[in-house]
Amino acid sequence: MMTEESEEIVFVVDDDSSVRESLGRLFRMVGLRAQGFASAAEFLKSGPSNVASCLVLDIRLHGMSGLDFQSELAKANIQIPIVFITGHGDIPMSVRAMKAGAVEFLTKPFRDQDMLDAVRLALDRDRKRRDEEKATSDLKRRFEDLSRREQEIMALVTAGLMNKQIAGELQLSEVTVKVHRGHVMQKMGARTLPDLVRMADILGIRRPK
Amino acid sequence: MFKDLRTSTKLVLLCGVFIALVGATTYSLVTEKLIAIEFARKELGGSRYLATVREVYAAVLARPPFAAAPPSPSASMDDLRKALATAQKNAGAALQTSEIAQALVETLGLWSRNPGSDINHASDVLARARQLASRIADDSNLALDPDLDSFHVQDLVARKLPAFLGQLGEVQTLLHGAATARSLSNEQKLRAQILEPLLRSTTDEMEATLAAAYRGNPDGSLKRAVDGAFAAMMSSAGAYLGGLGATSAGGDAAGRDAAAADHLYRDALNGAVGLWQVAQSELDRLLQRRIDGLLERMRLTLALIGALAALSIVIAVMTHRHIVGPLERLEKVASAVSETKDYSLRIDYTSRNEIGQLAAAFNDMLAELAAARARERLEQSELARNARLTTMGALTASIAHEVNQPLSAIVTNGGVGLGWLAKAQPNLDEVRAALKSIVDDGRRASEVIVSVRGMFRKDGRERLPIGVNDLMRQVLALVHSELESQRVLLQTELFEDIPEITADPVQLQQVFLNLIVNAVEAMNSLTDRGRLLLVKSQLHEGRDVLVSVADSGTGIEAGNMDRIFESFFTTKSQGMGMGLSICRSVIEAHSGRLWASARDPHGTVFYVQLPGPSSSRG
Repeated sequence: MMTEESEEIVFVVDDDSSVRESLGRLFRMVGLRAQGFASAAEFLKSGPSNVASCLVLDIRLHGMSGLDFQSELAKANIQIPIVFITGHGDIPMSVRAMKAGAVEFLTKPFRDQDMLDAVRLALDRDRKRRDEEKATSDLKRRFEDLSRREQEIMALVTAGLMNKQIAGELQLSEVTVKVHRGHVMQKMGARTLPDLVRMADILGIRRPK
Repeated sequence: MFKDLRTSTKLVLLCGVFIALVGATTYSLVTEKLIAIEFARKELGGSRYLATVREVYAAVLARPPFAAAPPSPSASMDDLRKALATAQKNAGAALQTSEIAQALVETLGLWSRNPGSDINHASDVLARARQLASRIADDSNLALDPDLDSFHVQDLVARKLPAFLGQLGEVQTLLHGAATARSLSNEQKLRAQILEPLLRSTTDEMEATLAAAYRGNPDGSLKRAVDGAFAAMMSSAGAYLGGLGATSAGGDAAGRDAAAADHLYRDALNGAVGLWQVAQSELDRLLQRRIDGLLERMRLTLALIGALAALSIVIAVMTHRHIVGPLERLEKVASAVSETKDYSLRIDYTSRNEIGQLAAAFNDMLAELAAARARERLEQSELARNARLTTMGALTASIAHEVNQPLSAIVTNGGVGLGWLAKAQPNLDEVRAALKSIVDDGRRASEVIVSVRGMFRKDGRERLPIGVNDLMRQVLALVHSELESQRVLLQTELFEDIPEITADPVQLQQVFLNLIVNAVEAMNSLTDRGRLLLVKSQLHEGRDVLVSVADSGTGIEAGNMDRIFESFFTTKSQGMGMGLSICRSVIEAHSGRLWASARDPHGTVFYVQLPGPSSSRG
């Protein structure tokens, strides 16, 4: 359990060293790894993490505000859940942050538990996203392993066509379609047709025109 | 030159020119009239002289040899001579008649010594009298009379009647000679024959002259006055001429009818003298009337001119009183307003004319100006208050943030400590670190509170003896995290032996805060060089305190160096442009100076100079 937990990391970006250190101490207490940065630029320099992570971000940053940093990250396609903290939050600010996908918006001084709950939620969300990403990339790899013909047949099958129709469409015999279809089910690891349909959905496969 | 004169001077000049013109005109008018009057008076004098001549005629022709016997009450020859001398004396040098008059007087004297005998002397008297009458008429302007009626009357009086009387006398002398000597020379006979038609023609001429005089007298007064006497003369002359014809026809009967002829002669003489008298009195009347008329007209003209001049002077005075005077007062008030800036001044002038309206409009304008000034002042104070509130708001946000940061850390650290202690195996090192953090952060928050309390300890209006260095340290404590987060390197050189100054601490701190915040903002875009903030305090000129805040920022353009202290001037993208102008007014309210200069090689230095304690100024 401990090892699994320590695979997660919380990044703290706050220009006040006291706040930064106290947060680090809090996360260490619940067994989370924490890393503090005095500015957004410093955080970017450290490079992307390959474990589940989240960002605790002070809205009031010098150089670049936390909200601007959030949109910068989105633009650079860096997907990391953000928990905002602020000394003087107001409603428009929090609305903007939440709309842009923030997990939570906490006003200093915040309760420990609120912070830990928010961080937990953020980490779970990141882990889930990473898992989904991982599953999708597995599927992608399997789909790419299919032959061209098999990929065509998978698209038509998942579009709801019967073997006979597929055979007509591709100028093949019904038997050949059946064989290919068996290969597709096997290679994609789909036990039933609905499984295959869901996979096609995830991969975004559409019937070719 | 003229246009720069004062309006009152112009008016006076205008009046002067006007009066001079009027005076010149009046003078020429009066002179002309006086000449005419003098002309008429001279005529009148001539006419009076003629009256004396007429008496001479009357007296001389009533005596022998012209008449049969002298009239019982007759004026003596001496009286006549005296009267003539007096008339000549009265006429004076105006008439050049003295020689003729003298000759007449002498002839009269010669004749009077041989009365009734010497025909030649008698004829001489008549000839000289006629000469005198003619000369009088010529020299007294009577012959030049401008009016038709009086011209013809004077002709009658001065020439025709003397001629008639002279011819009458000549006839009588011839008759007398015929009666006494009974022997007339051929020449005398011829003369006697001519004289009768001559007399007739003379009477005809007199009639024609009178007719012309009547035509020249439109009101007819002349005809009414003279016509009776003329008719009497004509009839007596006609009777005399008739008698004369009878005498010459029947020459022998002359002696018999001597008494009757003499009677006829006297009638003719009296008729002629009567006509003369009446005509001459009419002439006097006409002349006198002309003089009176001229005088009357002159007086009227003078009165009119005087009235006009008085009216124009009244108009000038009114113009001055109602236009120039109010304008001068207007001008006085306007310059007083522009000098004293006292917009409560008003012009005390009420009238419904344009000047009154101008004064009212001017007063309205002053009132509007005063109101605008008041509004402006109000707006300025409002603006200053708003700027102050903005500063206060920013300050409050800054304080809240400064307190909130350590508080937040304290809360988190407290939670951490509690969390560890709740575990079966607490990590005491972590707990210790958290507790130490709590203590540090608590102290930090307390410091902020202390400096805030320092800022608001007393009422802002109060002036206290304060140390500039302490004040600056409190401000620096407030901006500590700001400087840290902006990575500004702070360098302080506070001179410790600086005297205390008397100042409003809150206002002064706001000035310092403003200068430091400006300095930090001037450096926040720097990437290529260090961000250095140098705060110094020092003695200036031995007694004043000089505080300087220097940055290594972008600097201020030389052209803007003075304008940055103006209201609403700003070089920042977000700013009201009130900060530095308020700072300067605060410092100036402390009798100090606030200025800026460029710093070498980069940035700006702001200087605050404050007067030291007055007691040390000895």
